[in-house]
Amino acid sequence: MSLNKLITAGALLTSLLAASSVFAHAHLQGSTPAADSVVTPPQALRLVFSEGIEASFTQVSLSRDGAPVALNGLATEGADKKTLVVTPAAPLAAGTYKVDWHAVSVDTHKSAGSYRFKVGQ
Amino acid sequence: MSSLLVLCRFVHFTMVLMLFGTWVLGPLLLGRGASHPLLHQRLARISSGLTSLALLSGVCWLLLITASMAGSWPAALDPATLQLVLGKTFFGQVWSWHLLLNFLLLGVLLSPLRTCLPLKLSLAALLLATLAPVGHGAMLDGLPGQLLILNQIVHLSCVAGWLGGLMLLSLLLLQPNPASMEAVLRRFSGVGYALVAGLLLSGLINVRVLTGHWWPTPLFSGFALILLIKVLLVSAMLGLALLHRLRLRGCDRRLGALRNSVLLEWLLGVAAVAAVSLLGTLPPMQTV
Repeated sequence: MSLNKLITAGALLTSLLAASSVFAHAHLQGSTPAADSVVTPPQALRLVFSEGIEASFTQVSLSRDGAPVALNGLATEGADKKTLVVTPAAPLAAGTYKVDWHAVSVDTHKSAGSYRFKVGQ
Repeated sequence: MSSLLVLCRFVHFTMVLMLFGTWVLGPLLLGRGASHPLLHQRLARISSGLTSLALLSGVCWLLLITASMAGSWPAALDPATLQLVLGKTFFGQVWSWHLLLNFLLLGVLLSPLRTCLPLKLSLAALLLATLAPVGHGAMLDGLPGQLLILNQIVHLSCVAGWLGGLMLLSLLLLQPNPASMEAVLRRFSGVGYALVAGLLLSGLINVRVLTGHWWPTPLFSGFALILLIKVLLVSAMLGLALLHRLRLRGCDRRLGALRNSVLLEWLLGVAAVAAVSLLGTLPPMQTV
């Protein structure tokens, strides 16, 4: 192995070690609409996780003031397996919404959570 | 469900590690065929058993993961759900190859090809390599993720060499009239330094990347506690290894004691694998 390759490998290893702490189970890092926000009716909900998730085994349910809201489906965005896009079947009417999610991460671990947001007039 | 999965992981990891380890160190410790013909026969039978158990536990692992992902027991035997896991999830894609390799290896061991060590060794190496991305190894994207998986392959190979070597030494010592061990132990000791250094370094990298610390805290809960137990087990192994090294000269005069302490060192290693089987299912950090 040449010195150059050694240095490259060393640098890569160092960058790996310097990576900020990561969680090995998928956690919700953010969402649009954001939790507890008041928004105009969104086209779709986006959930951003701390690591890649398996869309085939991840479940999201949406309810408005306690009544379930029909969803068209959910999918990850192309190569980015961390972002889950959830599309409602019909435009969202005004009201308080609750999102319940159950995720399976690419390393097969499960996690779950929920948050609310409000659609204004 | 999760305790069954831990058991499956333990059995499967142990089988694959032993297969690779005994084959990779076999030529060094046993020589090729001519010496120890009985031991070679015995080892061939053991390998077939290990491979069958590996296949069985590998299939159980798939069924348990399927049930866990789908959130229901019956899903484990539902062909459509199994197909979804195998085709659409990262675990399933890796595992299809892994189970295929395991199946091929069993076929090789049951055919006349079983005497071809390079073939067996390459299949076992691929089996070990496809074990690396499963679990926490999969959690990073892109280049860091691939490096983490590579690191895990190094870690598993070193562990396999150490434990497989100990198993071969145990088998040598368990023979009715064990031959002189000093030369064999000296050869094992030589590679042993490299194996231990490799596994300690790669293990440390793993912990740093998974938890963000060189040592996770709080010390006595969950991930950190199991890690502590594992490190203590490995330290005990290192202690025994050092003892064996220091008392190497004249060891042929106390083969009984040597046999017991080599067996103990091997069992400690298997216990460490058990700890790590549990570790792989726990979150490395508590949620805040």
